[in-house]
Amino acid sequence: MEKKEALPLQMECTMFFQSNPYMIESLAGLENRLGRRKEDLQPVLELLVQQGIIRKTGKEPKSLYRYNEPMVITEMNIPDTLESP
Amino acid sequence: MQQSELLEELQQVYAERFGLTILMTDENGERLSSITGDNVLCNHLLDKGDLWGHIQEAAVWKWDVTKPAFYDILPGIYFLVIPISGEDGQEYLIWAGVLAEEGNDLLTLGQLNNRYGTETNWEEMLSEAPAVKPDNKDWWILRSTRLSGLVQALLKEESRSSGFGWQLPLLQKRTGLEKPDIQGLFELFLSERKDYDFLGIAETQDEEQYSITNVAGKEVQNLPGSLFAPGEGFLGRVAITKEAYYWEDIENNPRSFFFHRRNFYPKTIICHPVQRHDGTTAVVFGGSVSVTGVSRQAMDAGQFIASMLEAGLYTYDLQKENNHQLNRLSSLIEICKLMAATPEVKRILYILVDISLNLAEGPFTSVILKDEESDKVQLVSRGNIPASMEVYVRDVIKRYYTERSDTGTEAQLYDTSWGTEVIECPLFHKQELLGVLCVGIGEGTEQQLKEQRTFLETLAIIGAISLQLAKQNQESESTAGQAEALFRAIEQFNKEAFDKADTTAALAGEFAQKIGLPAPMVKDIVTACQLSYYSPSFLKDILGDNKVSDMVKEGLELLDNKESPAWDEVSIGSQVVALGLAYERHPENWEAEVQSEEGIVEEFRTFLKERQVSEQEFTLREGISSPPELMVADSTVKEQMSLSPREHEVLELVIQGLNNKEIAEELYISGHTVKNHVTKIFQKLEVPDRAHAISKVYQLKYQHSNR
Repeated sequence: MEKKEALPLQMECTMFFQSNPYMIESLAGLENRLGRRKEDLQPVLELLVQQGIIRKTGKEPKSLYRYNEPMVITEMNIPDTLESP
Repeated sequence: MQQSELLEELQQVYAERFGLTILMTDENGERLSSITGDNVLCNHLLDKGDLWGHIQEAAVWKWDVTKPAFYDILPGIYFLVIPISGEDGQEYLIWAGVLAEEGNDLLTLGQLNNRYGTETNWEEMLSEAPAVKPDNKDWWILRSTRLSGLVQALLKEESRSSGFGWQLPLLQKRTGLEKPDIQGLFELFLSERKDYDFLGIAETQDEEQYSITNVAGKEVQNLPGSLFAPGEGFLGRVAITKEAYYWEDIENNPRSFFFHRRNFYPKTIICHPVQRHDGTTAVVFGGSVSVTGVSRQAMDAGQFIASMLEAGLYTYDLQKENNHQLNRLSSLIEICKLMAATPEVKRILYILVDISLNLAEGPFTSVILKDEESDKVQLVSRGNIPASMEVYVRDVIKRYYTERSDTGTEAQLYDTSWGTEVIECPLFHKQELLGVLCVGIGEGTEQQLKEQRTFLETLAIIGAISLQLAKQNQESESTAGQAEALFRAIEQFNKEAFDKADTTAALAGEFAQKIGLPAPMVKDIVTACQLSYYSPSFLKDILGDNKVSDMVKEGLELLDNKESPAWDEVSIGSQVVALGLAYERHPENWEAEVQSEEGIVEEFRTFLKERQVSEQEFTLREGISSPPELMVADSTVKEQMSLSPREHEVLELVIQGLNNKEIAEELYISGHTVKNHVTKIFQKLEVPDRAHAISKVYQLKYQHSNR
């Protein structure tokens, strides 16, 4: 049930990071930018880190978050062309 | 209460008919009715003697009788004791007396004299009292049984008619759409129903376990949080059968151990299943810790609270579901907005992959794209890509691109070789397959899967349209760049041709716009006119299969009559290009070039005429002077409003649309001074702002000129 309720925020965050792929932001910064409460954001960010959509660097409470681009393979036959993000 | 009045009436009738005095007590010896009847001996003893004390003493005994019986309250003096079972499980006693035992008169008289003294005429009283003899005892019992039957019927009626009484507060409490206050309801229920000592609910914890979530009543403090499996104990049984059931006298029932372990010792238990919106079943249970039996009414009451909870929880769940759907819908809207704002193939692919992963929380998501012409496959993925992914991708390509079998446009569920279930959503635009969105799905219920599938299907539809738009954008952008380069090239080696083409393009564009052609077509027409210097085949080589080269080709054909396509056979764009080119060749005699009387030719003619007129007008104006300045704040205004010469100057500039800074520069004064002037002007004109000032000046001028 809880997961379901967090979904819109999760999507909002995902789209926010995606729209700003070069942004590196702290929890407090995101709180400001998105106008959301820290308590709501924290679990969603953790989930997005788990899903690999964003990356977390640095130790809490000074962690920074940024978008992690999906993996793009341009040609299936040659796995070597795998582009790392 | 109507029933209690009837009860008194009945009591009265029986009392008069049989010469007895009748009253009713409960099992604690409390009197429940008035004392009716004119049995003199009885009334005297009640009044003056200690008969009431005797009755009270006797009433608390455990009267293990189901039929009326004689009871000698004093030696030789009898009461008929008539037991009544109330619908609420309570026992009552009707006392009808007194009767004197026939043949024992002297002995009884002696006793009375001994106990209460000789002043009373006991003999007369005894003789008036109805007699009990061995041969009329059965008759008395029979009469009493009738009375008992009538009283029972009345009580039953009463409980039925007042049945709503206890339910009403519960129904009133349960209003609104918020989560039902289960605890509050339970407590209210227990306060209304004395036949229940406890009430609780057990809900599904996970597939294998139930947990007691709410409980109210006596000795139940250890129950919350207790876990049991479906099928285990009383509650587990109802959880599995989904049918209401009750158990009586369960103190020694082995199933009670579940409760005994938690220091809870119920004597009865009544369970009702409650169906939840998510398909699970909760169990409402209640019962007594004192009484060993379960009445029909207690069962009904249990059913009532269970049904109430079922309805309440269902409404709440539906409301929640509804909110949840609304949330998803608004998320979809946000996604649409984002896609529309950035029609870029890469971004759209990222959105598809990320949002699907958000939603499904599965092991991976991928968009598989295949170039129609080459065999290149592009893959954008997230999550853990299994080693056998390549095999899967080949399989998807085979199923969707090569075979194009029964895939259709709807989302499909597919089992991969490594055991993950995948929702596959083809990205179709019209008949063209742009790619396939493949979303590995995580754990979840059927309902969740259904929701995810619908959401992903919608996402795929939006994604496909956006992808198509982005591709078109990319294509048209690159074509536009090439066309621009070709046009600029003309200037380099033939300036005259370039200027001509430029004029023609402007003319044709204007005409196309005037006759209401859509913007993209107008753009193509302009490009076609700009590039008509080149041969159509060259344009086709360079620009590819493009409308511009077709327009040039058809436009020239219409004029040169080579293959004589009829005017109405070619596109309207080509017709406009032809008209433009005809005018370019012979501005004076363009109609000879066209040799057609199509409606569009007539329209072009009219357009040219109108254009000429407006051009002439323009020339005329130019001939006179520079565009007239808005010098309307003439002396009239100056005088009327008593403006200073400087204020007048400022007002003129205000009317011409200059801002304070510009006015300052114009008059070589500081911005601050301008501000002062403007404020004063506004005050004098009695206006709040510039717009009103201008309006006021026009107004004054108009009034003046009409004088």
